[in-house]
Amino acid sequence: MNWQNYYNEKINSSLIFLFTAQYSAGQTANCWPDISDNYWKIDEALYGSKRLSNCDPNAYYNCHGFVMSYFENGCIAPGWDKPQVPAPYTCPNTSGIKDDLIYKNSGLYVQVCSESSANIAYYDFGGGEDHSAVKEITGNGFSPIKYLSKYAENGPLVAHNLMGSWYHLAQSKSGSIQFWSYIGKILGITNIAGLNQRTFVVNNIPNITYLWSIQSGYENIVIASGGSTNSVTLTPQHSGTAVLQLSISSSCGTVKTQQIALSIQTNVCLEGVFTQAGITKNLNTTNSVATGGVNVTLTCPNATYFNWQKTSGNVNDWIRNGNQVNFTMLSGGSISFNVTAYGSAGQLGQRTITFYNYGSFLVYPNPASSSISVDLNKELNYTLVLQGMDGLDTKEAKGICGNQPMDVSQLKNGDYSLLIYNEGKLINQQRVVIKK
Amino acid sequence: MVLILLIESLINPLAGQEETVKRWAISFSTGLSIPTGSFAKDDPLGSVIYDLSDPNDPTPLILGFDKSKSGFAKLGYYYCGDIRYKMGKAGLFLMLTYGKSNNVVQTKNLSDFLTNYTGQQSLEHVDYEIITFSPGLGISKTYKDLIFTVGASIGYAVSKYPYYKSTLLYTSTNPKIIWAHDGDRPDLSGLNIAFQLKLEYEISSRWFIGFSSQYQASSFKYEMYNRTIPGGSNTFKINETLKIDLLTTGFTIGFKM
Repeated sequence: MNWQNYYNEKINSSLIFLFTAQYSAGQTANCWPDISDNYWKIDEALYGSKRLSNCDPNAYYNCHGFVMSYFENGCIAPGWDKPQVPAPYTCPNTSGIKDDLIYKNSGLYVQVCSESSANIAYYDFGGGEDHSAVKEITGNGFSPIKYLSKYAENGPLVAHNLMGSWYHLAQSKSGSIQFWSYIGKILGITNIAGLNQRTFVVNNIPNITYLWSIQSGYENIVIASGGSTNSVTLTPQHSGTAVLQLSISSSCGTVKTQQIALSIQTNVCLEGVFTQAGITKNLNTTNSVATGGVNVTLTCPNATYFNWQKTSGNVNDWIRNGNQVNFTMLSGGSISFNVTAYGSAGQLGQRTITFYNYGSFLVYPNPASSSISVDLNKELNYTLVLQGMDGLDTKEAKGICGNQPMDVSQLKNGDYSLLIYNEGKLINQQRVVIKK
Repeated sequence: MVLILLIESLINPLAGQEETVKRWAISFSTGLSIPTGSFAKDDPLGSVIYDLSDPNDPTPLILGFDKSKSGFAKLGYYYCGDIRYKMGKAGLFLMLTYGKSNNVVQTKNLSDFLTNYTGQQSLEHVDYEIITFSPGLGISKTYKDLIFTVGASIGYAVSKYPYYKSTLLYTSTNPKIIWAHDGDRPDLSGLNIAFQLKLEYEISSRWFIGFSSQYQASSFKYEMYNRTIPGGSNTFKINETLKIDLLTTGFTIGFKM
């Protein structure tokens, strides 16, 4: 049949499919009119190939779409050792017409270095022509490895040898082969309730490097074990959300990543968050906050009443409202609460919460000759370290609080760095000039 | 045009009663259709459209050729007929033109380009066949028996779908596998703009002959989905514009009424 007849037939059949498409969920395409084994190079003895299913307008998927359907949608009915699948083979749900980059960049597949680690062959024939096929281990003793190919949406579904596809045989193509493996989606329960550890897993493929990480919400959940294997165990820390990411790679190809969102509800009584200037953070027993308004929200399953009691601090501007409290933090100020949650069964939980502000860190006088003072929280202890620019001339003062002065009279003239520590952690750094 | 004729009849109410004034004329022209500008260019490398979705692919898939950059048109032929209505004595006239041009396509460089890229191929392209139907306005001046005419028209143009297919000669199937647009091929329509010059000689009180030349430009938007048929895995369609730039020149014969 010449190409003009082919197109005339296509137009006629298109009119028919205009009507059938009304009743089918997916798209349709026309099959190539020559469906013979001779045309499609199907012959077990000659080519080592076997027809798995005929082309059908309703089997609307190409080679890349078939690969995706096979692994992602369970379209595994066709196979070398299985009876021919009646057309149309629409699987439970086909992936349609796809470009190879769609599956390659989905994060569910990774390029591997050898055929033994692979379950997909990707053929790059040059000039942008390519093909994908599913690798199958068969019971064929002579040639146990076959590749399942859908020859576009207008060709049949065929099993063949690695270098024996229709593209190789009919188009004299050779090109290069990439081997890929299906890792699959991250499996695990994404709605996490309680504090029990949870495990997430993907397919285990030899010679693959797995790297799990928490991309966001790392204060809510941490990696407990298995960060470099095909599974990872996470420990919930706090209610909220988090994103778990898996990066996979081999010695060949590039790193592929996929993520899943986690929702965590620890069900711990009296955990909560505080919000300041639009930024929300998890609540700890002691919390450093900036000056300005702070909103605190607590949760406790089954609680009906929250009793807020201020126990200490110089912040007096605070309002409670059920499980929430609002206050305005002062420079160098602090406020502590004792909170009790009650339910129908009585007291459910109790905890103390402290908020403080380190202070403005204003150093005065500056330049200084005999002593300096720093605006700091009066209720916290600080360690101040003055360090000369040469690194040799240093002075340290421990147990400093409030505006308590630090003697600098023994220091030489010059520029110094003032390092301010609280509980061993560097919290601020200022420049100080000593001038006598 | 009806409105202009009405105005003209109001301005010059006696015109229709003057039997000696021949206000209507019809003419027929035919000659060469000469492609110009990008329509005449034969540059596959400058017009090829690649699938660049994979930046790491050293030999990306060819999706087609940008016909607005290179039309690959060869010298062709045209014919057209027009009817004119002369208004008053100033030489102003209204006209209605129907024309058809045909230009074959240069395919050697395209075939060679595709052959060098993927293997032995032979490209065939349908001829560019443009039909125009345009009303316009012109003015003519008469010196003894010579009539010098200029005119302009804007109208409707229709083109056959610029389909091409490349037969992959290296394939072993019968028939050979092709690389071509896989989809509908509707006629394309667009705007046509034309400017014409005519030099005519009155050989009698009714008949005249002469030379005519016309520049016409039109453009047509269309969608193309090229891939290997059967078995191609290309998933990308391209939106294309066919730009027609033609200079037609030929002989005219006409008749006044």
